[in-house]
Amino acid sequence: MIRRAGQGETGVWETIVRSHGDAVFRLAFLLLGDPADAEDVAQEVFVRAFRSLDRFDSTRPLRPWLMRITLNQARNRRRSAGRYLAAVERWFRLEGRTTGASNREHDSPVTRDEAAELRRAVARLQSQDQEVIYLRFFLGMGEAETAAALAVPSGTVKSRLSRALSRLRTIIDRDHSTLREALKA
Amino acid sequence: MNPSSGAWADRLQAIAAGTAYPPTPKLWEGVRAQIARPQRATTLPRMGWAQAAAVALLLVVVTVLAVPETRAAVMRILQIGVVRIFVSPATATPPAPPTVEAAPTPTAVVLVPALDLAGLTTFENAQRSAGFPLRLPQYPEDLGAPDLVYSQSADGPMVVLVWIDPADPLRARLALHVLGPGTFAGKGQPRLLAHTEVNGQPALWTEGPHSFVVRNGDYTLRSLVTGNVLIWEEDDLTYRLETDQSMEEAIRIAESLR
Repeated sequence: MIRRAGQGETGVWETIVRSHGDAVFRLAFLLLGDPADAEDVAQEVFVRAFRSLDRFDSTRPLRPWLMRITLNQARNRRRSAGRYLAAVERWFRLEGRTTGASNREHDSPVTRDEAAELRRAVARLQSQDQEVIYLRFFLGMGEAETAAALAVPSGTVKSRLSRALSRLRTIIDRDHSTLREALKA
Repeated sequence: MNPSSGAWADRLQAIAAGTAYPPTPKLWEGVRAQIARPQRATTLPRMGWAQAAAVALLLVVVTVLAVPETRAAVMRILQIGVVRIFVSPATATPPAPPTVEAAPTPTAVVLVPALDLAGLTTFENAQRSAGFPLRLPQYPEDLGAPDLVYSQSADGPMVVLVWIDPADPLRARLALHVLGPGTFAGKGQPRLLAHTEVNGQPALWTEGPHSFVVRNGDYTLRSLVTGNVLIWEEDDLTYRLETDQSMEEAIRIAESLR
């Protein structure tokens, strides 16, 4: 399928965009916090991936590669020195309205407030810590897939995740009492 | 204990899995349009709509202001530090005496920088990288140290200090932006604009929604500011204090910087 897309069959690429769109968009949203930014990045990811298909090893799974491009694109956006102003604007757009339906709204005791609080806590970590937590915990990617997305060995994912969670726990215990209690439940 | 395993991590994963995401937009249409276009020989940084709009705005401003008669007829430029405010004569509020007090706008919203801004750091690190002394408000007395500190490097350094509202962690009580020399910032058409003073130096007070543009070497970003803003300059630094307080309170906070 990937080979056919690489030969210019855009219809095949459409299928890939549709099947991986959720994961790419959600990772971009987690990293950037803004649906419009995330959409822009997600489109760019699929355009870049399509144009780089000749360099992709089609025996390997596609999703980690797409996630890696997503991480790179989101990092580029976050490096923008003036981005804080865009973030201010985004905050206003998000304020007072929900951002969409929870995936597990009906089958999980987790409240949306807890999930939102967790995102705020994770957002206070360094980018590297955020990335591994988003991939493993928010998007539920396996260790090997996360390693491929981050372009590091599996052992590094383990140690990076462990350190990131330690730092997250410190932040939660210190500054997010509601979440701290929820995590005790 | 390994923090990646155990009940705490399991519970964390369950909470994370309950995250509310916006609906995934229809990506294919945009992707198809872009891959149908021939690739450029050289790749330029891709601009989002906000950057493109800001560049367009600046081009218009520069073009218009290039003609002196047009400049005089179309708009007035007010500048405090690195912040330029473009005001058309018809809507500009006449200069007000420093004693004029603007009551808090009932609908004013405190500017709340998102918690995932780039450059989150500690006050000490921001102080080190800024290259200029960072001063903190001593008023209100219960304010204390900022809850969040962001350090950004544009053509000149920028530091954002945020005090979170203790009653609502989603809102900021105050946000103080310190812009170093070399940054360009522009504002357009705030609803209320008043001249005032901070420590005897000229200052400007804006209320109501207005656009705010910041440009550095690589990016131009335009944003909508809906809160009240006090702008003043001291020692080559430009300060922007964003708050939902009155002008009088904002000045008191500004003059308490130590």
